[in-house]
Amino acid sequence: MAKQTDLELYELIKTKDKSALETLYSRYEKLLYSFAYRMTNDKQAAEEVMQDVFVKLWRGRGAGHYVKERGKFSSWLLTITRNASIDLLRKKKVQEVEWDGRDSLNEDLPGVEQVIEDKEERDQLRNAIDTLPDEQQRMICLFYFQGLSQREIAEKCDIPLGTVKGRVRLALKKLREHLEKEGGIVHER
Amino acid sequence: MNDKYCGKIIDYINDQLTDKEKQEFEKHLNECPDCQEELQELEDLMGDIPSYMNEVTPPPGMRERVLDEVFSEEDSKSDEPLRIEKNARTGKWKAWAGALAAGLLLSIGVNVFTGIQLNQLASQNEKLESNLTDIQVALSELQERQTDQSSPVKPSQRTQLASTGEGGGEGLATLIERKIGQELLIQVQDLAQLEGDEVYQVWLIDGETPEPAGSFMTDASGNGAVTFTLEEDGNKSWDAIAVSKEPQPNNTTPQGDIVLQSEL
Repeated sequence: MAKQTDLELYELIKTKDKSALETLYSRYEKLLYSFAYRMTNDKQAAEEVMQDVFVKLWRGRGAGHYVKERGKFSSWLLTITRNASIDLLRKKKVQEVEWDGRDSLNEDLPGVEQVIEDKEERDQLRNAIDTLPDEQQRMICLFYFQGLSQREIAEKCDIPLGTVKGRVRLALKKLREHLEKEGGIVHER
Repeated sequence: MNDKYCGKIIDYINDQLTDKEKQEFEKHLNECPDCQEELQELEDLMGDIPSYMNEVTPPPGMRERVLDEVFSEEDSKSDEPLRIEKNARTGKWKAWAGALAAGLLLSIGVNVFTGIQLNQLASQNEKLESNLTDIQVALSELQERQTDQSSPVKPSQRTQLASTGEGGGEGLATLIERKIGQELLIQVQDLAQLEGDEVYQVWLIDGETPEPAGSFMTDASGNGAVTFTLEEDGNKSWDAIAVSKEPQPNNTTPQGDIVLQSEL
């Protein structure tokens, strides 16, 4: 039997075909787990994210409902994994920071280093981020890895609300340029 | 270009919009080529990022744990009715709080409460059964309360709520022992004015876990009050109590800033 495409599997999942979900899980386990781990920097949290993503997929409603307009299926899976990670990060932050009796808003946020440094190994992404100016590193960290809102980013960086979008876009662009420049080269340290 | 919506791309991408805002934005997106282009560009820029990350080996047994959990969903209720159940419960507090605070007859409270429930039922026929059960439970609880209401009570604990930010304000939390459980009375003054959908939400905190304990709005002078009945499950103790300003009602975990707080 020919290998089923993601879309074929997704259609079967909608009919509550368990083996289709299992196949899709096997196909994406490593990619999504690695991504969730990189986002949350916590193995337990990354597993919770996996749970959340596949429960949503199985339910097939709301965030777990895929339509072609959302682009490639694999990109869409990464998007809902990123959203689930951000969601979990926010919940954890509320519990750990907001509730420890201090006013977290005035607190300095963990620097770019702290958030990314703890990751097990350096990868191409980390190397590329390192080459960016501090301000762009901070944008990537706050926007991409912490998933903050526009208002939060503006407050943390003390910049006008209206400039957030432009700065995020610039940082992502620069990151992309570095990634493409170094594409395929594995850095050994 | 419509600034009101075009400014929301970042929050849309990071999934920080409420369901309503998200719908509005998506509607706008259909009509705004600028936003479509911008969104596409940002998504393209972000799309490749995961492929430059190192792969991590999943922990042993994760596959079984995840899939077991997913498939066990089948027998239990899906998330939608659960969420509505939570809303229904919030409605219950509100109805109770209103009835108590205003000293209304309980029978009116029941009517108000039933009215709230019925509104939901009208739009959610398929949830009819679970909501009816909710109503029955709530009615029997209300009847229990009515009996309890006639006995005198005295406060078991009283604590000042101090302001945590620049917003100012102060409050008082009183715990009252009743036969059927504890009742929490929160009174506040001088709180900052709410805007839009914002509400003040009370949280009881056990360790690191905040649980919602009633929400309220303030009058023009920043005064507010709410009562909340604690679940009957025994002698659960709480470490702290806090009031936060939430961007919308019915949040089950805090999203807004804490304005008042005290240890218990």
